Amino acid sequence: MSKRYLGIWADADGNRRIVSCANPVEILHRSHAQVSPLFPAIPGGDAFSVADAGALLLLVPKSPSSLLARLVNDFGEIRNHTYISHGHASVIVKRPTARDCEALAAQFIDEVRGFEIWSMNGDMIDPELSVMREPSPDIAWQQPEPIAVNALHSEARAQVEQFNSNLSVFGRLASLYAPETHELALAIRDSVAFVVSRLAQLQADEDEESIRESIGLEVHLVEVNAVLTIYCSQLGSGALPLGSDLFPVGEYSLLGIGSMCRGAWRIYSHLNQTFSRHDHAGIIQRAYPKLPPFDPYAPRGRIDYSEWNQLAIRVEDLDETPETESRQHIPYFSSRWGFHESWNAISLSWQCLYAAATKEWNLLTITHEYLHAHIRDIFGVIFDPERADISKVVSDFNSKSKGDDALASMRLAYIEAVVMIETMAWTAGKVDGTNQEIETFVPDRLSVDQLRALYRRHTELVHEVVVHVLDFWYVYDGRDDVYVNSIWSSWSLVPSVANRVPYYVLRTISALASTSPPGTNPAMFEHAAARLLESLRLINSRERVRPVVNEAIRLLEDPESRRKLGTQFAGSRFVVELTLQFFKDSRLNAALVRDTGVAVIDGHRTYNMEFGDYVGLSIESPIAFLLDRFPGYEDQAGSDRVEHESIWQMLQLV
Amino acid sequence: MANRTSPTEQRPFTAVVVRHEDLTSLDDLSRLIGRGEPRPVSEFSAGHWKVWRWEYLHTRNLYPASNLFGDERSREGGWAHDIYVGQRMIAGASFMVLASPYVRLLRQLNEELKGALSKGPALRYLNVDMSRVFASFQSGSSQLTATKVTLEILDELEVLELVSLTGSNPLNSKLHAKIQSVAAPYAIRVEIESGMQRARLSIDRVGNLWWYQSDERKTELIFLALDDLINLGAAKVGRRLPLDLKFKRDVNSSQDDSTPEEDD
Repeated sequence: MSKRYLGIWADADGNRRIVSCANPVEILHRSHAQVSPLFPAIPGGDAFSVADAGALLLLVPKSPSSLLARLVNDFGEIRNHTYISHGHASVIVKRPTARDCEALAAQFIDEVRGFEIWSMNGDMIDPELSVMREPSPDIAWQQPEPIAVNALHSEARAQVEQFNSNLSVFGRLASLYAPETHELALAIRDSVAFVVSRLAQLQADEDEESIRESIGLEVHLVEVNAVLTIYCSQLGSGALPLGSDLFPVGEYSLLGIGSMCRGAWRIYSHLNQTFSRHDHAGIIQRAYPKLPPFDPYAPRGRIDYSEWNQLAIRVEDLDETPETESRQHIPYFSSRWGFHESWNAISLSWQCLYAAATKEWNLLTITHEYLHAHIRDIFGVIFDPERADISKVVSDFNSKSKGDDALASMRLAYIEAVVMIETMAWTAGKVDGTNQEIETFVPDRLSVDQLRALYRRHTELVHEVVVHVLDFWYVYDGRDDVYVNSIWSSWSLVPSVANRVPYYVLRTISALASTSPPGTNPAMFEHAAARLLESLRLINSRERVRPVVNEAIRLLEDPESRRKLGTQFAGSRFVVELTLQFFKDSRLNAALVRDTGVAVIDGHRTYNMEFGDYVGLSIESPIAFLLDRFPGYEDQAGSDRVEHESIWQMLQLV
Repeated sequence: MANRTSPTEQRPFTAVVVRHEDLTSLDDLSRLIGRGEPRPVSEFSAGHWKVWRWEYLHTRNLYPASNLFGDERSREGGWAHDIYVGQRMIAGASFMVLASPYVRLLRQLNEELKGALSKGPALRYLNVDMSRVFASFQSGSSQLTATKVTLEILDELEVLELVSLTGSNPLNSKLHAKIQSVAAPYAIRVEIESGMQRARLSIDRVGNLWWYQSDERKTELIFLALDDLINLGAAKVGRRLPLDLKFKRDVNSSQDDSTPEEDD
């Protein structure tokens, strides 16, 4: 077992006592007890024990990967007494005396934000000989100004006052331990300021619509505050002096999970910065109204999409300068929400803290959630039938007009997509395996209400298909083995998936079809379905029983279910083609995975890093790094090695 | 100047450049390894480099089995493998080139050095900011000529990893301009001429160097070309052995993805 806990507690005289144990429950009942798991920096090394330690040096590195590279490679046998943790104090070294700790700390003085030295007298931490160097605020950090509340009524005012306090706390913690999150502080402050100014405008209005909008905005403020407080708790856990605050998760109560939060920020900010630099929603919003219309009904028989190929109005073809300020999410760990995205936040499954190095809880799943935000922004500029006056676009659709410009054409293509999905879903519902005559329903003329109903019924599927296609291309490099493995390993643990397996199968087939040879709908479906079946069977050959995967295989092997899926695919294929022809951007794809640390060995891109290597490489693309790691992950959580590798992996990114 | 290379050494050479404060001369190297002959077979200077051809004594199996040498390679202490060693200072730090036709031999030498230096700072290896190198050649700031560039393709779904462009000036070609947004600089081959001699040196961004050596006289040109590349200000150091980032473990001779390049 490589995992052992470092624990402290207070005796009746108030002395701090130190202990190492295999099970935190052994000491958590004691007065002021706190624990955190430690792992040897070198896999296979001796598990942590205080038995032979005269002193502990707990380092808060600016870059754990750089510091560990030096410590493990350049200081001889000290590597065998070095441990890693989830917290900001992510590197812990056992030394014979406090003086040895001081000498070692001096070697890294420019590479740490702070450190503590615990000098031990038996199992007691000697306060006289222990040392703490607290972090100083990063000199580049500029704390955002509080937002004025004078113009607001009491409900909103209370929320904004709380926000100002929360932002202050965040700023203090982040400037000390995670100054790289500065842009997040500025962005959420700006986001809330925008909401506040809108609320101030609406206050004078007493019509129902204004009141509804105000309530919606106040709910937005409540959510921001809720997430920000959780984030402060997580990011600030394990702040110096260690042991002064209790992180209220027993397992990590002493050192917290600060480094894991920094790793999550690194992954998220790489995604966000890359997408923001390309600003697809902004480009579509600015460029499409100036471009001539195209034929949104062009695909003849919904088979031949080549006419769209000639258009050259993909986002990657447009030479617009990105302008839009990026929206920021707060990336935090959640056991309640798992991987989830909302306007203000992206949550990562809590399980990632100890199982990110598994196929089930791998961190690449965050890209799917991020892409939902990206797609929502794109479709937000294209079409919102809930808000806009859509009578003209309905009229254009009914007359099969192309619209006045490319933006209008894209709206019509969206309507065509939901009509297609509705039609094929209706048709699939008629498939009963007895070869009866199928009466196809094609809605020829829509009313405004019918369009809104179609939109509500099918927008989820449209968004999911676009997200899946882009995820498959941008993040997973079009690799079935990694993509299907990743999403179905994750889905197999989500209860709600079990109720809608055909839906998830259809989504996956749609993604895989984006790299199948172009052809008729049945041919593409069969090609993609065969690929999915092969990948699912491989997942099923693993040890853990997965009912959801079993059900997916059963659906694909059952002729009637397969026919139904094939019929529905004819609708989702339209969305696949829309995505490939208009929304996919090779330059963004390249930017997401660009990393000069990658080598090409035998035709395969890799960092060639083994678990336990500390090479001080500055990972430029967390996405490429995680993709390189994925094939070597264990299937599921539960082993020491998995948690050990999960920490090691995250520390490479910070 | 150098003796003529044995006919069996006329083949692609692979090299890595190591950095360590305890490696400032051939004497340091042979002392640390504890196997080599104290005297080099030959030595010469090339630009800032001091270069030696040195006999690294080890077991015979570091050579491919097909290389059948006579007893002239046998020494007291082992079999004599020719290694080129070059040393120079860069920004106050000592760098050493280790070059051989045999990757396995270089790995072995690296392992022995690592073991000898295990108590203190570890070896580091030179690698290259290839974007900067490309930019320098595009702007014409180097004396050398870049006749081949290799780019990593970033958006082709594993069907295409590397693309090479060869010609008199591929970096300023339309094709290069077209693919830059979806590609990353990976390797470069430069040419250097002096009198009637011409040599070509290739280097990738992770720090592997390779060249074809038909004549030891070209070795001097290789080191001069390396000097020029270093003078572009694109040299960096890292901790990963470049050989591990190019060759699978069982590879022994220097291999490019294409046929090894021969000089005229």
